[in-house]
Amino acid sequence: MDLEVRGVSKAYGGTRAVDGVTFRLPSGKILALLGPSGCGKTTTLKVISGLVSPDSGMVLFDGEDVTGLPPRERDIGMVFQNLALFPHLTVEENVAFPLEARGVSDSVARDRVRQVMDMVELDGLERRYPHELSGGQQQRVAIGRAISSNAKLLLLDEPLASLDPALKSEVSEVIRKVQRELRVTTVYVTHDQSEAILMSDLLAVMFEGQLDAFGETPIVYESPPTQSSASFLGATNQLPCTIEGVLEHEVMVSIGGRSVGVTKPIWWRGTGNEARLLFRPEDAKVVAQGHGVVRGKLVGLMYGGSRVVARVQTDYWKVECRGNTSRAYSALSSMLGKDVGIRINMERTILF
Amino acid sequence: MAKGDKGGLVLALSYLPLMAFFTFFYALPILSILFSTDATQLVSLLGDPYIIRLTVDTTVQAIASTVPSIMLAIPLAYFLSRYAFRGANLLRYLLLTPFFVPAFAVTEGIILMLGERGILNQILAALLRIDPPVLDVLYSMVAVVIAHVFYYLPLAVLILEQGFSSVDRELVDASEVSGASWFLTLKVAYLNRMIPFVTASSLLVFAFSFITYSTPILIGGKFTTLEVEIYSTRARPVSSSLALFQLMFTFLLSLAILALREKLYVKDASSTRGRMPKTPVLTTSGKVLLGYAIVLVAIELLPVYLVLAQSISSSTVVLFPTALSLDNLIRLFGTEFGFGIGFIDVILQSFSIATVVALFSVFASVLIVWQGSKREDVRKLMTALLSFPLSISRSSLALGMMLCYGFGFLRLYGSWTLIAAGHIAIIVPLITRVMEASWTRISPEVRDAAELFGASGIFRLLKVELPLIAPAIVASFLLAFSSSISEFTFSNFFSTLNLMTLPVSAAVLIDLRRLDLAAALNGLVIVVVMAAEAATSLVSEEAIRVV
Repeated sequence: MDLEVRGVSKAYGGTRAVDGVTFRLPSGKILALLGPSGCGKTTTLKVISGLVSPDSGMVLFDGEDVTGLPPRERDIGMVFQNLALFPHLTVEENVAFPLEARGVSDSVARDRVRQVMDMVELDGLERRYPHELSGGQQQRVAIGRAISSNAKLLLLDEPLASLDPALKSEVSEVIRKVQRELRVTTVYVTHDQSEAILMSDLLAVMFEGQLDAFGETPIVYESPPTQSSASFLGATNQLPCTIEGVLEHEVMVSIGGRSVGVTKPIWWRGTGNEARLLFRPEDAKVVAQGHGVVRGKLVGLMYGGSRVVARVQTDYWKVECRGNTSRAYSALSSMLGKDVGIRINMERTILF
Repeated sequence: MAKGDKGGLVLALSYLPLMAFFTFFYALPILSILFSTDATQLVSLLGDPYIIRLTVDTTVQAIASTVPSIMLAIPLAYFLSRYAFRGANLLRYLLLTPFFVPAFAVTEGIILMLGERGILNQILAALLRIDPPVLDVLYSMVAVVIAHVFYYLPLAVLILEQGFSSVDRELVDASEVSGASWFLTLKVAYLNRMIPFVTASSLLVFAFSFITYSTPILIGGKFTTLEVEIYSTRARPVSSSLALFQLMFTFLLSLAILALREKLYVKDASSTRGRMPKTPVLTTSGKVLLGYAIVLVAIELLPVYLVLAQSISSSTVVLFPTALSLDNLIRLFGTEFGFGIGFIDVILQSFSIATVVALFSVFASVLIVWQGSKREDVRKLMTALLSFPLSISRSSLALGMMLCYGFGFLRLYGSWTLIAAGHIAIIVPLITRVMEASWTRISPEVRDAAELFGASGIFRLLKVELPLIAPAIVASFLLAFSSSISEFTFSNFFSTLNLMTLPVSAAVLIDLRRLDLAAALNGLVIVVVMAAEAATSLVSEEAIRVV
């Protein structure tokens, strides 16, 4: 089922939670709605579900306006942030609830519940109550309940937020498996960028109620259209630069007097204009003084097991560099407090 | 049906249960009083020296009941909130006993304690070696005030303990670290926080003492209150004017309590962090307070104990009965009340009324809360309206019901239905609060989930909401049942010589000075009510918290 959100706005009191959000999600795809807390992603999800009525705008399923339809008539499955399992019902009864509520006959419901229990790997737990299950099992019950009625649209509100890393990977696998098998159109809300990138076909980044970026996940990740999206997607380092001109497929910029070529300019501001170069910490390496694109002083060094984080104070901003061997740590320890250079992978920088 | 019409119908249905309840049980009776009130009589009543004296006496009595209740409650509340010790819950439960036991049973305990041959006079006479009575306070305002202190001190402790528990620990620490004196700490950390709680508990004790009915009737002697006067003059036109006057006064009191309640809730919401920790009773002040608590609770329990002891003793009032006997209870079954009604008839009438009241109250409150849960405006109206019956003049409402349903078109006077209606009027608001407290604990996401997965309103109610509040439903039924069993004002107003409930027959026995039989009856009621309360507290925490 195609999902279209057209110009949706919603305010609570004087605060605009969602402001003119528009996007289209083709049938069978997963969209990750990504953004910081309070950016309006859950409100958008609730507008799609019908639990919240928008002040303006429309929600369309397969081109049909469903904005005025109550949630129970929208044929939706949803995994709530706090799961919202019915505590007085067994696993089996929870999974069967949407079928029972929609008046599906007992024999059909029984078959479907068995199918779903198998799909979300809950066999043998049918008679248990939610409080008798582990966090991961509860999450799978919530997923099972969301898909049991063959809903046309699956909504997931931060489904992995309350799980520890091991369970996160287990449950995310279940979600991907279910989505792959059912090919159900899915909206996945999260504030975790790595989770969003891993789970989605399309990525939408929201800030202050507005859609800041939308597109296929690899494209949005590699070439975010705005500085805020770029920062939220990990490009947290930035350096000021001056546009010098265009050379074949590159834009030549000057950083601290050194000319370098940038392959991904987002805005073309014309020669002589000031711009900003954004890059991710993993694309920056600390090198010996005299090498690299910019120079600065190594002011911080942290050992993080599989990676090493170094902070270099340049003439402009502090730059974070991330290496991935412990050898780098011992080599860099001797350089702490001294002048160093920063080598940047220019192919992966983003120019604004 | 057009969409707009359907929306209007849904809106009307949301308000219907709440508005129907208040219309039939409050608005129509109060309107009946209003229509039967003579305006000139009402004006002249305000200048009538007897009424002025009555108002002053009632107010003085209410103030005299409030001040010692609060003063005695403050140290105990502080102790319970600050100190951890084995048996704290038992002490709290024992303290609450006089509040849960029917007022007329506690009042009989006061008679057994303060009467001419009561325990106190027996002890004083033995100590001073003079003939009793040494103290002659029974059948006076003093006796009424003492009974109220016994009855309302637990309520004050409950409210004040909440206040002390919510004092911000970090505020006390910050004040002490800053070098503030204990007086300044008391002022900045405790006083600001406690003022609303002290005011709320004082207002409640004052309101309950102001609308007192059973206590002055049983042990007030010549001292009387506005509530009793409304009952005494119920067959005369003046009672309507009095009732209207009393209703206006209690309405203002209710408004003040409601305003304060809102304030307490706002403050509570912001004070869940950094609450004061409890410390073991090791310090001297802790031990002194523990001694105070034990003595106070023991004194509080004395009237209830005396009634229970008397009910199974064949001798006159004694502190420690030597010979246990069920004679009083057996004789009770041979006693006739009114026009040949036996004790079995009274039990059957009381229990039948209580069962009907409990069933109706649970049904009505589920309906009210269910509709309230759908719309915020209905819920707000429900919260506001349900606060008023708490301190409304029951005599006035009973008079209004008598005028509206007793003698009007329905002519229900003399029928159990009228007694049940009176009980329902005051029990439904209480039960609704218990039910609402439980309902609000259902996660909104669970409700959203049910709706999203295709459940209709009724399906959601039956499959999700009712099962989740089942403990509150059972607790509400038990609470309604025990409240109906112990209700006195409406029962006394609507009783006839053929129809009476347990409290009314107890009052008849006390009136006839058959204290041994009254004790047997009250002992029975105490056991029933306490068993119901214990069962209530077992099945639902909300019930006790809300009560």
